[in-house]
Amino acid sequence: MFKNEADFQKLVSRLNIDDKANPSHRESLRRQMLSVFNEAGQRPATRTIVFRTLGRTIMKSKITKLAAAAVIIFAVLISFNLLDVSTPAFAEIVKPLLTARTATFEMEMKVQGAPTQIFDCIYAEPIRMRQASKENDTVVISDLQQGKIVTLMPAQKKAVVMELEKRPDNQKQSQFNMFVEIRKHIQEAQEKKDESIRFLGEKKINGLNVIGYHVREAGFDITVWADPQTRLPVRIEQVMGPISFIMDDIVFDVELDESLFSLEIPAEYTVQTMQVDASEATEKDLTEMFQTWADYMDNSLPSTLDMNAPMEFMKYQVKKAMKEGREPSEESVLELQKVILRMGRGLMFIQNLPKESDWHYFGKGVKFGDANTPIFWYRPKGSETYRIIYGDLSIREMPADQLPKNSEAKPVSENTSDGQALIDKANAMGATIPAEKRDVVERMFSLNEKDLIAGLRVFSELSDGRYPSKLDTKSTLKETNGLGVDIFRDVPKEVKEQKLKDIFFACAYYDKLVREKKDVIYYGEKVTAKDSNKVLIRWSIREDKYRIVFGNLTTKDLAAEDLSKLEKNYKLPSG
Amino acid sequence: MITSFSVKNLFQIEDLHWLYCYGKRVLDDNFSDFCNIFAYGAIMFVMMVGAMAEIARQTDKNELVFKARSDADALGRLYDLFYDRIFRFCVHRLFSRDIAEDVTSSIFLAVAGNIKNFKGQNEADFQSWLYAVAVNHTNAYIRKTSRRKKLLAEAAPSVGVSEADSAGGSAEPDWPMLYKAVLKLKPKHQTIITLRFFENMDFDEIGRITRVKPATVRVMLHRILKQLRNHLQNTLDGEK
Repeated sequence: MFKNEADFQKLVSRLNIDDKANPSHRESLRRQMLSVFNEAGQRPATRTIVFRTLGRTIMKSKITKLAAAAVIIFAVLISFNLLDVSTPAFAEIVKPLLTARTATFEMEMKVQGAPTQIFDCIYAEPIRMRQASKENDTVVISDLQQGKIVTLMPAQKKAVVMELEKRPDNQKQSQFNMFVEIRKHIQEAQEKKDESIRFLGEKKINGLNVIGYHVREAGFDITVWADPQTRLPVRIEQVMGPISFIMDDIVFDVELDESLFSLEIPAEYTVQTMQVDASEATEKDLTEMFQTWADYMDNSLPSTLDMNAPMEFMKYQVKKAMKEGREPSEESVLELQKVILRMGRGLMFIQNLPKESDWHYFGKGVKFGDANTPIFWYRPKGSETYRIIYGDLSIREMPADQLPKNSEAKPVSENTSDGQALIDKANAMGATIPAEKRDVVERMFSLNEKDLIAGLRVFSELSDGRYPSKLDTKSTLKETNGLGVDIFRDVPKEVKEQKLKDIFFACAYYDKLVREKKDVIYYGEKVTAKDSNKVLIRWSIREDKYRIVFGNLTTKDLAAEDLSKLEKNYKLPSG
Repeated sequence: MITSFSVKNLFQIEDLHWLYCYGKRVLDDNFSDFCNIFAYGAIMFVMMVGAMAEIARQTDKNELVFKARSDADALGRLYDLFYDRIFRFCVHRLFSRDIAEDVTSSIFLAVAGNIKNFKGQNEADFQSWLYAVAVNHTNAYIRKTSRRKKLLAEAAPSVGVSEADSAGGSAEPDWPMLYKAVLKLKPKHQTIITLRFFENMDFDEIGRITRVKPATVRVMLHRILKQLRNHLQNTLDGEK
């Protein structure tokens, strides 16, 4: 037995204790801990600490507090990118997804400007899918080996059969099956071993703590949320431009009745059949898309070449029909669907272009038929030269150093919107934007007049037709606060947040105009929503030309001279 | 008021936005007329991106502690420095490796959630704070009778004297036996034993963690060892 402290120390040193740490516990706890830290870090208290910590150095310079604050907040966001991401954990989580023979899940589909749709989905190898809508009775069954997509509408006893002609090999058919397409993108991201996969931390879904990974592939944003205990995916989210999907209640390798995928159509149904060209898309499909677009869209060209394009097309057609006071007939809707399907081949061509093709699109705002303006260029695989498509669809080839300079053009380097492209660029510079803020930041990047009008409309609705007296961000948000709590009584949280955001984005656009020295003047103190003839805000759009937003939020372009006549009764607001 | 939280969030977004919009335009397109405060902000941002990695490399542990309140990378590096020690401390206090892992998790998650409130200035302060959190969590675990019984049961099957000592004749307890004896002490005394003999801390460090004056720790330790010796002796006598 030990006699004193030294003796006891020796005794302890001779003990055989297994106290070696387990590396996998160390690693998984590290991730959990950092996600807890990040959650706590997003609370306001941390922001103050960050400011205090990093701000000291910055504030010594002549840079204003505002600029410094911007840097600091950015630095906080950068820290997300410094997390030690363990991709093996991700590999483990997605393994059941990548190897499943069958799967069942509930899918929520959101399309901007349309009601949310929920489907019960069943996937089965090799490339089959059954989607049953919960809102209406419609069932879509696709079997791509058979080359058919059948839509059954039992209530109307109707069926639409899409026959895929000139089908590509199995690998490329994935684009017709969402489940397989998601698998393909995850696999590709895993193979890249770059920053395509990012750990998002922890959150709760339906009371369950889950961990998330974000997979970013050109044109696709996929987020996989998994139960850290079972290591099984519990939710998969996918965003494709204006369309987003959420897959919940995911179960893998379920025994399924083959009849669920039967393509037979009940005898009493009337059948419409469409042939869809499923062959590999070519440059010709792209030029045909531009041609068709111009035919249906009053000689314009698409604003973007991504999933926003079909939406833009449909919205325009609906507006056109409404303007003409006609209800679109069933035939005309079917015809439009066919047109979209055809044009979709142009988008497919873009989607299949490799990154090295360096494709750029400049068509937004260009009139169809303009032989002098390039609208698209890309470098075909293995080629030294670029192919340039002009507004009249003529095509020329030239080397990279002779590509036309187009200062007005905004190249879009990937299958993304301008905002997404900017986010990608920022990511490439080392920043990472949290997934939940991505849409907000993206909207920031693509601020426009619509944001201004939307925010002003929200404010006037909340304040009986009044507008904010000033439109700088801080004053306006303060004034919004001053409207009191009653304005949001019984309003769902999401709606409230959306309204606040709309107001904020209006201010952000106003700030942008001010900083760009657009000779902007805002008359919010003097004008209300009833004043259809009074200028609420105006700014210069080019020399001697001004954009006007009236009190009733209608807009007009006016020459400087005409504007001065309108404004002569106004006294310029102070400041 | 509406929700000040929402509005605050928006201000953060606003700052971020201007940095992006103007920063990118300045950097990409050389828009000279954007050389205003936002351009400076963007340039600062670029400098900071590069500088942050360098600073992180050069910073000493004290700076690491300072940064860890707001910087995930710094906290991660502190974690790397301390994980093994805290896990070991938990094994010594809780005997079972599985339970030690669970409690280690709860300790570091508590640290991540509360580090922004940590007021210390250097690594020593952080270590004391971290161990104090660890002491609280391990004691909280042991405080429950059912859990203490579970720990004793885990230690029970192999209780005895070590092979070497039984062969040599001088009775010396093995780890399970010593653990059982330690568990008979008051929680604070258990902590002092662990910190002193398993973590090899001096009286100052133990004093900071347990909030007892170092001189008092020294006196207490003397008495604790006496008690422990008695507990062990009784166990050994019982076995004979």
